[in-house]
Amino acid sequence: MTARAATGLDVAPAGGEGHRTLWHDAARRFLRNRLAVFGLAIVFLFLFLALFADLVAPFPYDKVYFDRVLRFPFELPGHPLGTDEVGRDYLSRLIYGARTSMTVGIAVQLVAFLVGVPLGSLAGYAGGRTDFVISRFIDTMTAFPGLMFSILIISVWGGGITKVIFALSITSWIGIARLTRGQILSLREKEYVEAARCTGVSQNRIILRHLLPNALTPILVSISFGIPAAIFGEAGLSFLGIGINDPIPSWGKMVGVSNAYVRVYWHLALFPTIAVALAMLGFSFVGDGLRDALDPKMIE
Amino acid sequence: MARYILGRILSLILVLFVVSVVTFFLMHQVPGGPFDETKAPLPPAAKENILRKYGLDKPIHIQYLNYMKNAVLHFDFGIPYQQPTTTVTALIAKSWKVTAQVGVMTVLLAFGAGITLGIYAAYHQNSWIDNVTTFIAMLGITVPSFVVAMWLILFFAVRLDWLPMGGWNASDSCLVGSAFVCTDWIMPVVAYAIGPLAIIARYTRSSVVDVMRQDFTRTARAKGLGNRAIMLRHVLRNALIPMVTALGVIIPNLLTGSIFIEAVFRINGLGKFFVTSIFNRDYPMIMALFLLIAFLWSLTYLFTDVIYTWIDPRVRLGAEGGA
Repeated sequence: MTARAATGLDVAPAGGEGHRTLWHDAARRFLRNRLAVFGLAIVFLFLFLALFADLVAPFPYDKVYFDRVLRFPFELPGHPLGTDEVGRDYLSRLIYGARTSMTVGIAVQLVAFLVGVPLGSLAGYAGGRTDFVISRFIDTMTAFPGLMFSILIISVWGGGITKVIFALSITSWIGIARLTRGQILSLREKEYVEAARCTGVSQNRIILRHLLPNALTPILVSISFGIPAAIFGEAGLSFLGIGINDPIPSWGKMVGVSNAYVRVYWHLALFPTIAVALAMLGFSFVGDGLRDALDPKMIE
Repeated sequence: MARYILGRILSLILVLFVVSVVTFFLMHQVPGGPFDETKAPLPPAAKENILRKYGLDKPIHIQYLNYMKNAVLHFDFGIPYQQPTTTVTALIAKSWKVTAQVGVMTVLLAFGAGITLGIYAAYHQNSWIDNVTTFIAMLGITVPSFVVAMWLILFFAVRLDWLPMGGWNASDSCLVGSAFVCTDWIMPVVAYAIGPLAIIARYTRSSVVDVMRQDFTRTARAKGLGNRAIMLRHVLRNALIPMVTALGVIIPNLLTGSIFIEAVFRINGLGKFFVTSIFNRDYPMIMALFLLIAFLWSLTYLFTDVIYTWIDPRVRLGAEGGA
């Protein structure tokens, strides 16, 4: 606490509970942004579907009705979005598909955060040889063709949701590591950090209490954009026929399969593409909103 | 400058070396080999012969050294197991022709339309065309290309039946030869271009808006220059500079093609081999594709950095250690 007082961080008005913090301000700005709120609503809807798919979906995702193969929407009562090529309820599969997408999107970014932030901070703060090694590692990883690398990894270890998360995580941390390094590098030279160092604050504490919180904003924004990227990655791999294995539903896989039926059975292609697009739009709106809300300098 | 470029080229070689090692050892981890037949297994002696022919009977590090020796010294990347009658170089050259066709048209559309829209939107801020551009940019950036491709197919091929569903240079309008635009091209190029187009439009807009607020633009206006002269001589010149780095990165992606676009529209380009080579354990082809992409990317990064200093002398390379 003494160290914090010495750095001058605690000169905020002593207004008790009512004082405005960065997060209060950001939340207010975020909620005033209609597009961001709309995006947040979409994200919550998909998260809700993902969590409570078992309660919401009218049928199990893998229940096959051999007498109801390839029916159009509303052709049969009880199948409002029709059935797929082996007679499974399409609406139920879309709902369970949200679970796949959300799981992959969030898990991949979690890994990216847990790997990228420590590596980036280390490189940025330690500098010298450590920085050199980590930076060259990052550069080399950047040169790898990400999608192809994921395909290769999945063919080594096989498909399935955990493997997909693993394959996408391998390249997902690079951007965050680079971003964190840059942030730490520029913050390291600030006066308040020097002040903290002079008063004998330990290195870990400087990184955790002084550098990272100030570097967090762009990292958060980067993660909110990383989630739709990971969703896209999963959808893409599954679209190509690798990635999520049957019978687990995945929007990307549904789009890929629908390609063969598109001339007649348009609904197979239409609904999962709308789901993918909506999910990605939702997360991107939230990301845009977060960026504008967290960075007051952006607003003129 | 020369020293900087030399250093960058050395680090490029290092990167390619690492990519080659990782790819080589990783792809040999893929279960199964290229000549494992499940339906009609080869007699053991025959299989042994084939393995010996391709050098697959040797220890893996020897295989790697042999591969690199041929690749570096003789520019020989081996024989694709998928089509043993040709060479990897020839196969890539052949399929790249189609991919490059798609890519070049996509680059033209994305940059042409993207920059035009961006400039127009910046110049008429908050007009309807600005709003339309913002909307297109948002959609293009967020929605994956294969989703856009499916929507185009659903609307223009299935619903309206105006355009062919897929193929490349396959429909009648392409065979006639007199047609300026082959209808096969329209949907793949539009679906592929919309993403980069959106990014370019957004970048151009914000960059131009930024420069329009600068003092030197105000000075130009104050001294009585016409709108056109201000736009061309002062605004655009400065606005397009920061875009070089951002946009240079898009080009190698476009030139190596999109796995998704080629899959949706059944185009026989390079993208197809990304997946089939790994499925078929086609080791030489996998190596060549990985090295090709890594090379193109690293080269583009280098080029954009060098071009940047050339068009904007204010930037000095290597001053910050060239990270």
